[in-house]
Amino acid sequence: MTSVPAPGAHVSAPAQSGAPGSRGTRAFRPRRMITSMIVALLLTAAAVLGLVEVLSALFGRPVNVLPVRQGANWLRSTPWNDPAVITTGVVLALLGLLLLALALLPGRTRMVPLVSDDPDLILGATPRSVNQMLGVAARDVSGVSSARTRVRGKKVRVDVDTSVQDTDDLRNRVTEAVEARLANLQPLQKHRVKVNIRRHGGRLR
Amino acid sequence: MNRHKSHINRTALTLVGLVLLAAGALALAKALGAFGRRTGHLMTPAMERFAAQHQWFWWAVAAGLLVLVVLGLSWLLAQGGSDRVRGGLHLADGPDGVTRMNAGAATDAVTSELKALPGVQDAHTTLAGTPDKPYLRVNVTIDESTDVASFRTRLRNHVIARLRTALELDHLQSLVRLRLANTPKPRDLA
Repeated sequence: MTSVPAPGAHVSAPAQSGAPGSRGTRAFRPRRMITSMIVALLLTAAAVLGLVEVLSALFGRPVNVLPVRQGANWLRSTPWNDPAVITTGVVLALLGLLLLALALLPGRTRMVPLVSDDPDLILGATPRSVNQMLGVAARDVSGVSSARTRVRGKKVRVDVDTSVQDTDDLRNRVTEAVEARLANLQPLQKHRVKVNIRRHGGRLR
Repeated sequence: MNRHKSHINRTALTLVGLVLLAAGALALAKALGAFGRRTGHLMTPAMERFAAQHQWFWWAVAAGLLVLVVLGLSWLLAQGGSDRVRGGLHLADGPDGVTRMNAGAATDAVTSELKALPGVQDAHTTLAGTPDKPYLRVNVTIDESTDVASFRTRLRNHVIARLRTALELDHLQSLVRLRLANTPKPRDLA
């Protein structure tokens, strides 16, 4: 028997794939592969060098790939409050903070997540493609000589060149056309369209 | 879905970051006199004597370094390789036995169905994940005037639904990336 929700209970809608922070958006987030490769490579290289040095010394034939003697001398003669120690400490701590930031901050998505109406389907388009599709929509409006679009976060800016007189009407029609294209694409984020109109070639009076 | 690498990388970076931060902070604290005497040297004669007199100390250092080498190498190796399923899929352990299907045959069918949709120029399909729990990864090249809403509907209700039926799966996760023909390919998520 199915349980009946109590009156007024909130029936949860199926999770929209890609609401901010959900899987849809997350699937397009960077995986930190470049940073990881650099750090992993440095870590491995340093550990290999150290291991070779220690093992060779343990077997009585130190290879001295690392400047062991100079290092030991420096450690022997450097007091804890030496500026070099302080600098090293600051550098290490900052490096640690940087890695923590790279690990814990989500990073920018490289795709524009689109509504998919199916939690199993994650759909996205490249930002350049979205931009171009909106540009085509704007250029298709009659009276538009040329149009450039820029998508920045939640804002779509459209710069239109025209020779028509009635710019208010043109602005409305361009806004409508771009909004219609957005409605067709359905990005997860709602965008606001702003149209700037520049007149050229009109008869001078 | 394909967030396995992301998890490994974030965890490893967090650990390395914490170690570096702790080391730096402790060194600073010691240098600035938080632990009392400020004038001691980094390495004292007592430390040297200890290391010189106990061979196990160096074996312990070697063991520690070996662990780091292994960890570093496996972290490095985790970056490479794709999670693409190449051979056969083995699915649904139902009453009629195990369903087997060739991954290539499944993706070829999806690719040609996608290419037949209006406004679609090209499509690349892979099944990734594991042979018993694959997910679909698709890159589609579309025209600039493609009706994306109707593409979405057909993709969901026909292409993916048909594959799901063929694979006898209740759920099949799909990651679909769209781009226009004259724009750069989506970068693989670095």
